[in-house]
Amino acid sequence: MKQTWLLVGGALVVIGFAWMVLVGIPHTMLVRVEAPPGLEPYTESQARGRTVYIRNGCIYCHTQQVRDDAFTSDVARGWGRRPTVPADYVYDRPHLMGTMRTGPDLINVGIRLPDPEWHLIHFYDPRAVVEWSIMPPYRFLFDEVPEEEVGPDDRVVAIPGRGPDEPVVVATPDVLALVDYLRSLNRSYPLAQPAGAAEDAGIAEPGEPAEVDDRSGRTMP
Amino acid sequence: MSGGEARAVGVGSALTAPAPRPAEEASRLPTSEERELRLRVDRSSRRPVLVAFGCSLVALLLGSVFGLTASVQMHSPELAGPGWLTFGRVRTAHLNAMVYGWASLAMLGVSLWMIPRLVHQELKWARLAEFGVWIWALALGYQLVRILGGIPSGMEWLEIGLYTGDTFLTVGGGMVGVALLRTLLARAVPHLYVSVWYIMAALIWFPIIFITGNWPAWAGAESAAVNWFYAHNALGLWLTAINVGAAYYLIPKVLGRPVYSYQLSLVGFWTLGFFYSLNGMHHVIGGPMPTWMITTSITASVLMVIPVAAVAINHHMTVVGRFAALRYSPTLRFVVLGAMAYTAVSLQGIFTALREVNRITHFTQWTVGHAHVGVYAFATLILFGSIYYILPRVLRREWPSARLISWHFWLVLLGIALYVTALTVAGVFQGLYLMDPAVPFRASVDVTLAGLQARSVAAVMLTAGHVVFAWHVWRLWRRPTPERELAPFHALRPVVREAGS
Amino acid sequence: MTDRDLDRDVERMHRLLYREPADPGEGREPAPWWLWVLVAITLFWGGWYLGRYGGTFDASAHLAFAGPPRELPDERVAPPPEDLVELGGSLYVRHCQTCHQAEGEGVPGVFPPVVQTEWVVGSPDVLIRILLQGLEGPIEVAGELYTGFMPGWEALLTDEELAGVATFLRQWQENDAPPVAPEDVARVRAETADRVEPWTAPELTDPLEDGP
Ligand code: HEC
Ligand code: HEC
Repeated sequence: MKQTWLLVGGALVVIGFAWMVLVGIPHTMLVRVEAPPGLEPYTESQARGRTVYIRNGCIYCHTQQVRDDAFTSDVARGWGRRPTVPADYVYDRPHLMGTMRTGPDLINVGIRLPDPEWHLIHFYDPRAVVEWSIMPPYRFLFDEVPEEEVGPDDRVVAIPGRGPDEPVVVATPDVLALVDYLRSLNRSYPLAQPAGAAEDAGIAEPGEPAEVDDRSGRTMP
Repeated sequence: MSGGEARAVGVGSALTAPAPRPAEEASRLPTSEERELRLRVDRSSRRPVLVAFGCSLVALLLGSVFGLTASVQMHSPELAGPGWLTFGRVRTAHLNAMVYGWASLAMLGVSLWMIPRLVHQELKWARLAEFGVWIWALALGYQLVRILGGIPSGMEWLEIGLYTGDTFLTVGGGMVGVALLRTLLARAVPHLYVSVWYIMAALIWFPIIFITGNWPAWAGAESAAVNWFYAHNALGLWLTAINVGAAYYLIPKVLGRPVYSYQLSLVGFWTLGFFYSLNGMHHVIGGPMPTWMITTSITASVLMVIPVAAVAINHHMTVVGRFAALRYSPTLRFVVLGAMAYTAVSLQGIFTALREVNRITHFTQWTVGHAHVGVYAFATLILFGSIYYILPRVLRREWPSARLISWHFWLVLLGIALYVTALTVAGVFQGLYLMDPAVPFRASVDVTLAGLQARSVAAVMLTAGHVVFAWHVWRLWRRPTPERELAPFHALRPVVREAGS
Repeated sequence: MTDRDLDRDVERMHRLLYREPADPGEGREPAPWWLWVLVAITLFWGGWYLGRYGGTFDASAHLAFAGPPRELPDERVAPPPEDLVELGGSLYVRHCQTCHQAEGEGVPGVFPPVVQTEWVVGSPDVLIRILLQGLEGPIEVAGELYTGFMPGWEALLTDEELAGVATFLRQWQENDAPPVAPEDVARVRAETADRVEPWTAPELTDPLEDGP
């Protein structure tokens, strides 16, 4: 190559094309995705819990997505009743889909583990409830207070195996918000089913009724 | 001492290979004009290059400590410590220190040295470039502190704060880019060598993807799409492009031969840009993303076989018949291994992008192993090789010790081999266990423990290798240089000409 | 400094440059023919793959493998074990162990045990109710008071699976109570179809006279 403009221009064309395909065009499609009726926006406390989740890097060990059950076992493992779809994430900003499953998927953890007490103990000391866990303890999200100084509004967590003369463990607002957030994680509501979507998508065999697996919500935009 | 010192003389990288050279190869000794030009050019880029390499080394050491800490915490979670030492934050600090600190700053240094060399022109606006490097480095340092205090943004590879970090990185990198573009426009060669294509294209691509990735407008599934559009291209169009460019320069340069085929260079470059930039969505295979996007990325991933084959043939055919030279030149040793790792990591990536494979390896330690073949075995080894070549030239003195180079080489080579093997094997089992719903989740955790422990051993080796390297650079820096007391360069010209003739 | 010294220094200073060959040029070899074959094959494959698995050009997810014929055999669902107890045991590990622990001993004060408790070995209907819709509020188990939140499994587990878990629990370790049949679960599921919230302990003891 001899011309600078060829190099610069070519590089711009290449990236411009990819940008259109993976950013520009998807934007026009994905901004039109609407929240399913069953999905609630996060409350203030849940949103706060979400930032605690982000700040402490839970995302590096936990995913928040149920993959296509046609070729993965995510559904069979009980991590959800159907694969998640783009509509499940409209209130997520940013997304927390994750890339690593050192721990279980959490997008439906609110169904599996609704008990706040479990979460509080688990954050303080994961091995108190799951002896083989390699999840780090999050003790810095708790205060240790002498028993006399516990206020009436303090949420005391009964950690198994703590002696009576040790200071008691009190949950901070941060960890309570985090628990609130986790308990809200539930993407099991049914997805609206546009009539005939399956045929439009060209996946149903001709002549067969558009029988769509409602667990997967496959044809949901 | 004598033995070490004597051999050390030969290690400044450009070797005088004992093998006889065919006459038509570009291995003639440089004329005195060429030598003078090189001195002039190296001097023009000296300060920004040194700043970039210096800061990148600090980041390398910091990043190694973060990496080691995170690695140990993973199998021994009780070593958690206070909030700023929690796994999620330390791991993130490691990634950012390594990618934006070590690799990116070293790559800026390599670009700042190589482009002027390649276009036979002094670095223009060197002050601007130096300032840009400082901005980048300081902003990054501040961001590392911020990450340890609580990660501000929630997306992988994009954790750096928008206004306090991204803006500065964009501006700093932009200043380097502008200086290099200005240099390119003032070039004194008619033809642009292939390394120039890669490096200049990377400098154009990076700000575009970086700004796109950090643009605060995306939400929901779209933010995932943009996240992976960016993160994959940060590998493909930034790390890969500059390091492939560096290999394209250093391999033939050290060997004193032309690169094998111009045609292959062309095919390799343009298909790399075209296919790599479309790869991003293979990070969400099976996930909540429009099917056509994922399929597009899988297709583009498989088509990556074209640029990878083209570059691999080109590099291989350039070295072939001269493998013995790897023994003499540390630069060549690092760079050729890095180039081989590039082929390996690309083929592994193609394999991993297939749905059938991905359903098992996705979300497992396999991916971490793969990332380290890319960023370490490929990019970092080439950067080590480049620094071994460049630093003696900008500092105008030889590396003090061949033994330290040897220690560095073997520590990092064995370290990364252990690292990748351990995590790849652990990842395969983890994936197979996760894929079988009858196997309890616990098994997928337990099966990785041995691999995670082996990884910590590898992390110790790599960290030790980096300390050796940094120590060696320090000694090179402190080394007395006779030329400091010498008369200004132009006064020496006649002598040089005599000696060269 | 003599001239000779100067010369030597200059020579040392330029050693790198003497040794450094000229900048690399580009060879004119053609690409090997098989690269073009490779290019042709992969491009062809790419076109086919895009066409086959491209799905629709909109925001729909999970289209590629959907619809008959299924691309993959349904190997992911391991055939359920014939034996109810075996089925229940594996489900217990997956769904219950996080709270009730590996040996069913629970966590003192937080999660009640499921071994040797009246709720497990008592009326099957009560146990099925607990499993279907869950349990909330104070409850006395094995002489201790618990106030936790136990999730229901109505939507996640089938009649067969719930019968498996129930039977497994009722016959686990020292427990020794008659099994629960899938039909029982189906009947209770129908009876409680309107119930959404979790049960409370008094609700389960009072109206059902045969309770514990
Ligand atoms: C080092 C990796 C790691 C990190 C970081 C991590 N976890 Fe975990 N997590 C695990 C592992 C492993 C398990 C499975 C064992 C257990 O339940 O403790 C788990 C389990 C869980 C569970 C129970 C899920 C279930 O279905 O049983 C929840 C909830 C959870 N983690 C939340 C979090 C949150 C919130 C954070 C961030 C504050 C976090 N985790 C950070 C590894 C991690
Ligand atoms: C989130 C933690 C959690 C999970 C998971 C869980 N339980 Fe429970 N379970 C509890 C709590 C808490 C109680 C006590 C509820 C209360 O206080 O009202 C309880 C109560 C019970 C009881 C009645 C009291 C007793 O111990 O005899 C039974 C039976 C029971 N669970 C069975 C199960 C079975 C079977 C599963 C798995 C399908 C399961 N649980 C999963 C938390 C859990």
